[in-house]
Amino acid sequence: MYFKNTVLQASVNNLLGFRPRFLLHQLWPLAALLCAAFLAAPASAATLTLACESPGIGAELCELSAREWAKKTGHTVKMVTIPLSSSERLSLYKQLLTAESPLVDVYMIDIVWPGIMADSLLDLKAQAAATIKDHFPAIVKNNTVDGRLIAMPWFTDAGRLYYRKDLLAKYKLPVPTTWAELTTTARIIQLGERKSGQRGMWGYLWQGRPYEGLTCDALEWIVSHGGGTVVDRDGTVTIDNPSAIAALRMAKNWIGDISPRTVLSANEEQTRVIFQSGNGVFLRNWGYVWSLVDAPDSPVHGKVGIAVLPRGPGGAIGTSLGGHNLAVSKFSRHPALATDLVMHLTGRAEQKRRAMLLGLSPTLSSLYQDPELIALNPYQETLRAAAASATPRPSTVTGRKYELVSTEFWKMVGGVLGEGKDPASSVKSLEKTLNTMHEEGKW
Amino acid sequence: MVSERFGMFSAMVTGVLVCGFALTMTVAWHWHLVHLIQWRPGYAPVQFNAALGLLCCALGLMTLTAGARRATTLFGAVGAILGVLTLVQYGTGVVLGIDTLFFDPYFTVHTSTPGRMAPNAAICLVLSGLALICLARRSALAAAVAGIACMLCGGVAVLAVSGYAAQVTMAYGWFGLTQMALPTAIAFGALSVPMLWHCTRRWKLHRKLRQLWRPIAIAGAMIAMTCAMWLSLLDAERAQLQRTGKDEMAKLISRVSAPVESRIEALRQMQRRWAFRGGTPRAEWEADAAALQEAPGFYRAIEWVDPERIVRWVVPNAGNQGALGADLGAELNGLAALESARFNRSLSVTHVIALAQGGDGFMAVLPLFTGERLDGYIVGAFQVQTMLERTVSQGEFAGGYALQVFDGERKLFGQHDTTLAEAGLIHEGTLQFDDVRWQVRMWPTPTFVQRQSSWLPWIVLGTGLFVAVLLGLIMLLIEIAHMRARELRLEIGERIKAEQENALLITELEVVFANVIVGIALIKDRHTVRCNSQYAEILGYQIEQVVGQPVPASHPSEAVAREMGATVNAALASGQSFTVDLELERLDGSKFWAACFGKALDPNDIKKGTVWVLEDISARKSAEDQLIYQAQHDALTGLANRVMLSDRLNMAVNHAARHKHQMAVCYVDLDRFKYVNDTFGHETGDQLLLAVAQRLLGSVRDTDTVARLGGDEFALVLSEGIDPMVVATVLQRILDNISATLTLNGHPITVSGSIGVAIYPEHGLDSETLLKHADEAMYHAKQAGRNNWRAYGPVAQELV
Repeated sequence: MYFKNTVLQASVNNLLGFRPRFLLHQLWPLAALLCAAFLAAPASAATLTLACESPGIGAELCELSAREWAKKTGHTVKMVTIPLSSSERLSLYKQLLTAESPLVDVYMIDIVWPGIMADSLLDLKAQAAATIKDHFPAIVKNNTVDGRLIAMPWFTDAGRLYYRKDLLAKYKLPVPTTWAELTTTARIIQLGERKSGQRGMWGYLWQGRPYEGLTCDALEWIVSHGGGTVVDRDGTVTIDNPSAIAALRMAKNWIGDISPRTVLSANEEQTRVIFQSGNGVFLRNWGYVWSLVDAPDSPVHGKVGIAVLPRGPGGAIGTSLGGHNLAVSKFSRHPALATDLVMHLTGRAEQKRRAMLLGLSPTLSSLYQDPELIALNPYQETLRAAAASATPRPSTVTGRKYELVSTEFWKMVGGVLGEGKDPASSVKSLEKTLNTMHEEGKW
Repeated sequence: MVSERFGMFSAMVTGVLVCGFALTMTVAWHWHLVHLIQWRPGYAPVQFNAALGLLCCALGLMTLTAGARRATTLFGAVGAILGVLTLVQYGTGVVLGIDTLFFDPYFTVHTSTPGRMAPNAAICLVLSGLALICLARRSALAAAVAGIACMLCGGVAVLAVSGYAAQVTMAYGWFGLTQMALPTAIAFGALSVPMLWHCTRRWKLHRKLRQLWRPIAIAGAMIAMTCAMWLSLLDAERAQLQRTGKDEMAKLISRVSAPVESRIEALRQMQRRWAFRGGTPRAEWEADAAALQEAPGFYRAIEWVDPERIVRWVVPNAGNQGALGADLGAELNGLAALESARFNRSLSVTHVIALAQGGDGFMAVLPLFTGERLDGYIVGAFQVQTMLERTVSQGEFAGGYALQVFDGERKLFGQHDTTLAEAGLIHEGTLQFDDVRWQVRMWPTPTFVQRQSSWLPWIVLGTGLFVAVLLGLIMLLIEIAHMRARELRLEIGERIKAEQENALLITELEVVFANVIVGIALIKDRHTVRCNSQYAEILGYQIEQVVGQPVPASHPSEAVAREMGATVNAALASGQSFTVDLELERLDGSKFWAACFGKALDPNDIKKGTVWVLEDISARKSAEDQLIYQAQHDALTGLANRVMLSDRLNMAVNHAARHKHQMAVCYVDLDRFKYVNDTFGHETGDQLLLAVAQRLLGSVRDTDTVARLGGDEFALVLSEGIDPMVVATVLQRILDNISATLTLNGHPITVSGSIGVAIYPEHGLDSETLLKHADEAMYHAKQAGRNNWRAYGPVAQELV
């Protein structure tokens, strides 16, 4: 047992205006300590358990906010450490909810999970009625299953294109707006930089490891090519189309050209690290990256810009909708308190704080005009546009099967990218597989 | 002619069909008609640039058939360049943009991006292009190259098609590279046939190529068969590798899961005991837990966790102090497993997590109930790394296979996995403990693949190629021998015919040689090489005495040389023949006239010999002499006749004129000859004339001429050395001799003669005048009473 004072110190520093550092510390000792510290709370006071963020600054801030709420209301909160891997997280959530466990009251759920978890979550519609219209409608719609609002939007995220302003300026190239431009620009700069000595330079970094992140990336390519969202709103499988094949071929051709082979085993963090070390021209990543790459001690501080992801040849734009929501378990012993806590955490003040400290995008569109936030990240309008136009993954329509659908999808994409499988036959067999999972569009 | 027209027609039709196909494909790319491009999901699509290449080749074929050579060259070149650039991309890995032909944006808007043409399609394209370029030229070399290219192209295409038919992937998808689409293969196969037909048309024009095509076709067929065998063997080897991989995967999974399951089963026993006893005392529990861990490598620890999820008991304690007192519920994985176990009252397994005591592992959780009361949990903490390492190191897959084990995104184990194998060789499996699934990926390492692959396919390939080349060479030799034999047969036939003709000629010549009247000899180096019997006979020899012997001086060659000197050699050397009549000597010394004809066999080299033709012309010569005699002499008396007389007279006149001599011409006429003739008959008359002739001859000198002019008229020419006195004496003697009595047939006959004489130059200066004057003088003598003589005119008188 040990206590890492630096972790708390860091969070305090963040509150005082320091830029946060992404810390991958295991936080469960901290949680245990806090739990012990609040053992002396009044007997009537309830203890709420939150499954909120995997270890790191996000979790720290979540805990801080929750504790503030606890202090205000006289209850206690307990944090449970959740794994980094979102698919593992989901399977554990499902395990707990299947076991009708009352031990976790509030779950942070991914934007793609409402369809999967809806049955075990409380309807928050009544409590959220006053504030819900401020949130992005796309997210609210995503979180509404069979008319029940089963989760409150907490922060959103969308795939973005991070670019090196300095390199584009050096080569007098504009920010690419189409994939073709991106490919060309990336190649030119990569070649140029390598010639001038930076041997590790790569044109474009993205997440190619076979996991949910690859689903997001691949969906962005396919949507931008006009290839649909694998399963459309009616539940019809649409993946087998030439545009999807074209999109996959495009990505396949990047490997070894403008993208290193390592992207095939890289997730968000790994690509972010490469980019931050100055070895990438373009990076596709989520919102959290900004505060890290633009940190004062970052080697690329001040050299990074944010743009919406490039458009496909038909002019369509594909941006995967990311982000997380907070939901209340149906098996919670204190549903009213838990709902109140969720409302607190997803409220305007908390969202702004998370935006300020973590660089996360709020789900409240009005917050993007906040001068403080703009001062922090001048690309707020870009971020808002990206978030507003983002496409949700086909999670709500596929419901419980989403995970399977997504797994099949990223497996297929991984096969094309990493194992040299033929895109055309791959999408064909994927369509066949997916069509065995539903009946007439009912998943 | 009909087949020619049919061939042209078929070539055109094929061209049009392939052209149509290729156009359809390009249009299908344009309108993204996926089903046209890709017949079946498992089959490779017809790539965009392959369709364009086919279009070029089809147009090339059509223009070739139509005779537009320049267009053919152009289309062929475009196709070949397309193919070559694709192959360059394959070879060097450089992206030249040839896959999309720089139409990238256009095609991605409307269709899926064209991929890279298959290497075999590219090779077909290069070969067809080359063949078309070559077919547009006329040289034999171009035709040869075109033929070979066509055959190779057809071979590759047929190989691919049969690969589809026999499901030998290697035959159409070379070594895991892009596969050649079935329609492309069929189209190239279809194209190669009319192109080959065009080649055969060219080949017919060149004799050597006519010999070549059969060996090349046979060697080509052999090579194609070899390649097919080689590829099927490779394919079979791969299939074997895949099967082995699948088996090994199953083995690995059972190796890992079986011991884990048995250990979980043991935990269940502890769980049942707890339920039965209503809580096992700590000492007994710890003893049980310790007993379970006797075989090392799997458990990290066995723990008892109280209902509040705090770890209370840990076995073994050593190394696991960190876990004691830990809250398993503080972490979602543990919490979920415990809750799930509690709720389901059964086993629950966590993902691989960081264990409270440190290190990675997973926990198997069993709830402990006494009746309805939850007494806590038994947690078996398994150490993943050592567990997998032990299992893998025991198996055959320790060295041969690369291995990856994932729990979700988390990599639990990796071995030799830095390089990924090709997709077909990767096997995926699942290790399942309760609800937790681990993904296992396994593929043979390159060294293992190498070890598993035998030399057989390569030996087959090498042997097959060698045999193919050998077969081709043998066929070529046979073909050449065949051709040579045919030529020889023709030549021998001609020669035999010529020889037969020669033999006939020789027989003819020999018959002529033997039976000709003339003698023929071949003289070489002063030796008689050959001669016919006539030659020897003419010269009075036996043939054996001549042949092979040195030529004696009396023989024509020597005699001619002697007579004519250097002119003979000159004539021979100039290639001229010459003929000369010569008097030669026989062996017995007798002489004869011979006509000699000589000619050199080879004017350039006289030494090669000379042919001599010899004819005995003695008989002719004597006949000639006789004729001359008869023409000049009187048949009855043998005296000179009028012809000879005038000749002699002229000579005498000339002689006398030259020497200023005198000479005389006498005209003698017998008196009363008519009476003798009539009285005693002609016979007696003739005898009388003969006797008179004798008497006349006896009356003059040898140098004088006596001639009978006809009937009883005679003439005398008294040449040189005379004067009138001598003449008178002579004439008187003649008269006396004539008038002497003769006895003829028992009759005593006495005749007399009358003689007229003319003397040169007194009585005339030429023979005619002299004769005329002598005749006149003779008349005078007759008138003067016969048996006397008179001179012409005054002279006669003077003589008197």
